[in-house]
Amino acid sequence: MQFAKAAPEANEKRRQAGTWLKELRARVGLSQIELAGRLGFKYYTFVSQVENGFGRVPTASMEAWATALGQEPAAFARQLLSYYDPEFHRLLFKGKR
Amino acid sequence: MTVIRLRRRGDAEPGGWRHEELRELEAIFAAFVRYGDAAEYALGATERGEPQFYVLAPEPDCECILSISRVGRVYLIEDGAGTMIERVADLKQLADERPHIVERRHRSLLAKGVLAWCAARTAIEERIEPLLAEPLEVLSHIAPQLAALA
Repeated sequence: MQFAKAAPEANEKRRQAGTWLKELRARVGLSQIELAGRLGFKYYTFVSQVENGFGRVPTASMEAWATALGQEPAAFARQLLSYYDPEFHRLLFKGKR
Repeated sequence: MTVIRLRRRGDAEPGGWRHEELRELEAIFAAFVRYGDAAEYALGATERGEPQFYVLAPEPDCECILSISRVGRVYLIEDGAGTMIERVADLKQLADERPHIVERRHRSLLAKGVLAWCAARTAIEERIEPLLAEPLEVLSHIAPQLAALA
């Protein structure tokens, strides 16, 4: 749920990442509270921050997010990198599928 | 006869925040702007409708550097990585903490900056020292011969 003021284009990819994460969470049938619980957070507000496209999944906890969302960690991290750092992703995986 | 003026929810509670709350939050935001840490803010909500206030870094990152959420009767203050900074029952209390929150974040940034600088310096030293050491070694071999010729 968002009521954001205008955000620059740089935010767009992060927002797409948030939408993707929200879809993954819905697919495994977890609420934000349940996901936060699996990630070891006391509150679920950070999950909301990330899903609303204002925060990133920290690298250190990407594997835990992937596991909680039923994803293979490497593919999950690669997909997130394409949102968070598209240029780095392009350099690393250019020509790869 | 008493007339009670009913206001639309959107007018009364922008993004779920009350106007007095928003004033406090904007004051916190202004403190970050003064330090050059923030350029704009955004409002959002959790899936359960708890309001969130995001302080966003200037371009190009525009990332959330501080998030304030009202959950039940408490306000949760987290950084952009989900670390809990404060948990207060009253935004006024948070307003008193405002300089500390900004300072704490600055100290954390300073610490990160110092760490990054140390790491960079170590990397540079590791690469440059052997390059500097080599000519010195050559010079130490040649110097006696040059001295003999002089």
